[in-house]
Formats: sequence, C-alpha cells, structure tokens
Amino acid sequence: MSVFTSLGILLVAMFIQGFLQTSPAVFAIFYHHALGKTSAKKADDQSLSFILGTEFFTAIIFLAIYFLVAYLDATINYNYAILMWVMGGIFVLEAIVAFFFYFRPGKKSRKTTRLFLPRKIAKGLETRTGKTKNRSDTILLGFLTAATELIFTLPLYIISAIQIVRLASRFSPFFIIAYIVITTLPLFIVRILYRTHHNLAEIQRRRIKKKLFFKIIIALGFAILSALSITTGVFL
Amino acid sequence: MKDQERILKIHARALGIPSGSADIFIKKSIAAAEKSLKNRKIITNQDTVRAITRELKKYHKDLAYIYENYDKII
Repeated sequence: MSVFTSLGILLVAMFIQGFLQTSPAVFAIFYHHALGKTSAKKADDQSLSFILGTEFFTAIIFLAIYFLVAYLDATINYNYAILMWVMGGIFVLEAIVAFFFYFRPGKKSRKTTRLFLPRKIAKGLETRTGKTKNRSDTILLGFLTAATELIFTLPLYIISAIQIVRLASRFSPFFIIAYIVITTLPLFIVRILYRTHHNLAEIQRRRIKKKLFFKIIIALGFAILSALSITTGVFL
Repeated sequence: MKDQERILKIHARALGIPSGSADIFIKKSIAAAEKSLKNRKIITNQDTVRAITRELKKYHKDLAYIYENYDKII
C-alpha cells in the first residue's frame, strides 16, 4: 500500500466529514438563538464552546478508535485486505444512503433541509439550542450534535485511524489534530458568516440552494473512499 | 399567541431589528393573524404559523422566513 493511497483516504474522509450538515445546521440555529437572547459578544464567546464540544467528541471517539486499532494491529494478525474490502462495502452502502436519505426525501421535505435524523432527535436538538444558558450546556450541545452523526462519521473515523496506524509515522499526532480541526472548519465558516452580519435566513436559503450539491459531494466522497479501500484490498 | 410573540421577539433581536419597530410590527402581525383566524372553528398550530407569516412578510421578509422555516432546518 502506498503512502499516497493512505493520505488520499485520509483527505477524502476529512473532506466528507467537512461536508456533513448536522453540526453546521445545529450551530447556525444555536448562534441565531444566542444572538436573540444575549449580546453579540457573548453569543460569539458561546459559539466557541459549541465548537469545542464537537471537537471534544471527535477527539474522544477518534483517539479511542485509534488506540484500539493500534492495539489490535500490534496483537492480532488480521487480514488487512479483507478489512479493506469490508470497509469498501460499508462505504458503498453509505454512498447510497447519503444520496437518497441524507436529506429527507418526500414532498414535505422538498423545500427544507431536514436531515436523516429521527424527528424526535432533531426536535430535541432544536429545543436544546434554545435552552442552553452557560458554557457547559453549550459544550454538551456540541458534543451531542457530533454524536448524532455517528452513523456517517464512525466508518470515517475507523478508516482514518487504520490509515494513520498503518502509516506508522512520527507525524501521527499531527494527522489526528489535523483531522479534528479540518472536520470542524464548517463551524468556523458559519461563525465567520454570522460575524460578517449574515443571518440565519440567508444561511438557510443558501443551504436549500446547495442541497443537491451537498448530497452529491457526500455520496461521491463515500464512493471514492470505497474505491480507494477496495483498490487497497486488491493490490495489497 | 403570547408564546409566538416571545419567539418572534427573539428572532427579531437575532436579526438585529431595532426592538421598538420589531415590537410594533410583531404585535400588528399577530393581531392581524388573530383577526384572519377568528371565524375558523378549528385552528391548528400550522394555521397560526401560516397566518402570522403572511402578515410578517409585509414588514420583514427574513423574520417571516425564519419563523416559517425554523423547524425545517435540521
């Protein structure tokens, strides 16, 4: 397996996670609510706590998987090619699910950006955004938001952790930090948008406009990741 | 309707609409919506949202848009 394939897989995984929509959507609502209830400075301050919460969740899960993979890699003599085949299969499935169900299908959801989340969870997140009062609440909200997307992010964490372990490079900590920071970049973009006097209505209109684009990019990303994983499995 | 007024005031503040003018047009919109729904026997939550949105659009399009689409973002 070439180093470039591993780096490619890592980059595509980061890219896909950067395009996932749950965290930016909840963050946009949260920021809007914070602006409506407190001063702009306090809202800006709280927004950082939200980002910290999502980064905290990503770091915990990613590091847990990384150490588990590193431990298994050192102790068990598993068949790497089969593992990559399985991951490839999972990514094909994710690509199909992302294309058809990432944004809710159906007439009712045509002009909305309703996500795949069960409605109770979506409603719960929406309610929580309006009820957060202090930093710890906000960190927890960011943490929970990142957790709701696990169905799409977990395979990405696993494949990225496998690649970082396989690279066995002294740059591993750098890769892990880069993964955590790059995947939260969309939240910083939303924050910049608010700070440059954009509002929730503008952000939401833009999201509706780009809905198909997001869907295609996420599905295509998973398809590329699947191809890369299967190719690695075949040519190992 | 008091709950709707409270929610609308939060949205208006988040959009940076001056509170004086926001208070006036929110009250006007709610009053007009109530008037338009007066003759209905059954009023659903969606009817209320639709009626208020229709009135709000006359004053502030972004506020009306957020009020109407708030539960359709995630």
